[in-house]
Amino acid sequence: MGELVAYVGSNWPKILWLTWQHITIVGVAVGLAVITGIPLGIAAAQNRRLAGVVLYVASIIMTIPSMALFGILIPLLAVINRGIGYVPAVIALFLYSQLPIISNTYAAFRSIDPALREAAHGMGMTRLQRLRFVEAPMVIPVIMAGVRTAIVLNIGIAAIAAYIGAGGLGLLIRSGITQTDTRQILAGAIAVSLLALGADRLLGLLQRRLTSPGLAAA
Amino acid sequence: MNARVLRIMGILGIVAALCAWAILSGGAAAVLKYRREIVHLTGQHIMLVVYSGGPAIVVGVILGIVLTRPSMRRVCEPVMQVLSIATAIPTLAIIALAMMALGVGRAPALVALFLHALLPIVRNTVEGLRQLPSAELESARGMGMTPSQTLFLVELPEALPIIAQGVRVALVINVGVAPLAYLVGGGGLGDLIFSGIDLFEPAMMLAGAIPTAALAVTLDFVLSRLTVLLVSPGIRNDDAVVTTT
Amino acid sequence: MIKIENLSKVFEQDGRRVAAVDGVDLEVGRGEICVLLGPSGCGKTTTLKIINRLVVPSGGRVLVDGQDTAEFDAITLRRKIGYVIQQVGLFPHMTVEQNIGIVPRLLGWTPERRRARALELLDMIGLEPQQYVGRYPRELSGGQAQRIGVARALAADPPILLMDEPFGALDPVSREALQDEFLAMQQRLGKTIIFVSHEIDEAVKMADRIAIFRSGRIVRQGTPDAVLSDTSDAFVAGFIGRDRALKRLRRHHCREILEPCNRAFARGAPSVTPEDDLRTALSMLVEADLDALPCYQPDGNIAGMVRLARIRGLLDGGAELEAAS
Repeated sequence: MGELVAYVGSNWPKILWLTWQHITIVGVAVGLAVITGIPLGIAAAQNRRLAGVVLYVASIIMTIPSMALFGILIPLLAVINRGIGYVPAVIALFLYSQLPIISNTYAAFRSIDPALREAAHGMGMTRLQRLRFVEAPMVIPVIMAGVRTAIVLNIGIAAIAAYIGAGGLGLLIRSGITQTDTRQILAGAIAVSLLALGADRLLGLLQRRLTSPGLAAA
Repeated sequence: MNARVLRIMGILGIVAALCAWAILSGGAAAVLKYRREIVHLTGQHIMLVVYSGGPAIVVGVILGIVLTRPSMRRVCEPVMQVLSIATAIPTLAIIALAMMALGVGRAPALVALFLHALLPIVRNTVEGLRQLPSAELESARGMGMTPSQTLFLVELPEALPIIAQGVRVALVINVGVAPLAYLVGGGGLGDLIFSGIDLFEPAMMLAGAIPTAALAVTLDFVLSRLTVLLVSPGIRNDDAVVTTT
Repeated sequence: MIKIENLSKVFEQDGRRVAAVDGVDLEVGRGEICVLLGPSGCGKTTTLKIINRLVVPSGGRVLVDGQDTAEFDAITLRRKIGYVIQQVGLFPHMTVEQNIGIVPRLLGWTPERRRARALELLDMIGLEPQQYVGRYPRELSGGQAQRIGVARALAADPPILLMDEPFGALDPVSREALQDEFLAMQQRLGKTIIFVSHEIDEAVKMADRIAIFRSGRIVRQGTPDAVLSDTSDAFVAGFIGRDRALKRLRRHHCREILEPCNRAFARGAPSVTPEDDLRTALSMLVEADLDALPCYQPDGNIAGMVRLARIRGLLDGGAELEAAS
């Protein structure tokens, strides 16, 4: 224990840097996923056939193991000389974020009672106003839950991405294993766990904040 | 021509196209160079999943049943909280910690995979048993079923779709996470993938990655068919939900 | 057949002791339908559940045919008592046949005997047997599910049936229909039934005896007519409602006050049959502003006449009519 504290104490810049790397990888990937995923989810909610295709493809992606996905992406990306490091990691994380985000967006929009749309229409709201005043508040909590799932999931996968040169806290664990240095393993494991738990907690709070009290689940 | 048939044809078409491209570009040949390793390591990989998944199913379902018994009501929520915190911990961390405790080889890998599979199974078992309408449990008790009859005749069959989904998710994830076993000396297809990365040998990476992916997808498909077979037609399967991965 | 002696059940709630059942004495004869009636929270359901020991009493005892139920093994006891609840609780993963046959299965009947019994019961409750045996609960309407719940309770042919607001979740039309069918079935089966309800109309229709509950005690019990005509207790009178006279009339039929016809009635004039209830007759008399109605048999022959004055007389002399019916 004491050794661990000593190690952290003397290496905290590195640890901080790796944490930052980790966060950026996940952040960029999920951010991109949100930009593509939400519109896809909305489109799917309005078009049953599109929904079938999109959700099916996304769930197939989920069954592909992360290491396998890396193993496939790297040779592919090597062609454009982006085989190792940041790019395959972000792409893999981006793909893994699709299902939680699209499926939650889809479910959220589909669960909106058509009567509400009709009421909004009847009182003279434009489509944009309806989106803003009626649909968004109802949809945001559920979509947030999807984003949260994606982020927590991806923090874990990003740790593995250390093995393909993407950086992040996984590097600590990796070198700890190679050098049989328990301090590094512990430091990395605890840091990444705290990151995951912390993100989950924080996003949970954010989700609750964004949920109107009238909608709060029982 | 219904949607399902079109879908399957579409997938086969894509797969066929990929195979054709792979063969023609010579890539297939490069990958197949490793076929002996592929077979050997796939066997190891399957063993890892079975030896960690099997116990996880048994322990997980039993734990889930125990946690939902009336006498355990107060304990249930805290235990579930602990378990869900445990899931947020990335697998790599779990494997590394297991290695610290158990050394190198198959043991830490199996323990880590076992623990990782445990949560979805326990969580789904608990959820599946918890959402049973109380009217049914009251009827069962009122008509003179013993507690164990209620469990086996009513509770478990009805909770089965959700429990089965938990098992499926857990096992498929296990297949996906098992490559990490290589890092602690546990073998499996991770050997090809990681070595391929280190040596920057695309063919090697693919030799590991493709079988892993295929294994995961196949297992998922088989288990979902199995679920449909095992679950009573009277229960709506599409209501089964997995809360998180 | 069932005797409840000084039954009580006390619960701990927020540190206070609450008596859900407080000294209840009740006797139900063989083949009788006894309705436990009262507002929510009055202890009627708790009393019911003590009979099949889903709830353990704090004091008092329940005797079935002279034997204290506490001396029975609870599981064995419950298998001998049919239990029907409002939400039915059919098992969704079992077919209708399997649901009905569940208690027989627990008792070790052979599959053939169970199947035969299921078919027999489906017929009794008015559902086409071959069509319904293989169905699943999710394919059933509320009324069908409730009927099957009753069939399930009757499967092992128990002498006693406990019913907790069984028709409460149905729409009024289905409820009426099921009540009628159930009464017809009871004519044939003669089970001893304890029925919990919070609706006075249902109680008046179904019961041979009514026990009105309030705060864990029985404040009035007796035949429906006796209970309806007794106005001494304000709570009871309030619960029954001020139209109690009309409620009483529902239980009586034209055939009870038929008199020989001593006047001429026009062909198309309003008329009743001997089986019509007196409430209907009164309604017709008031609407047409008449003082008598002709009563015809179903085959068209005159059976007699029904006079408004006789209906009034019935209400005033409640006790004698009770003896007559």
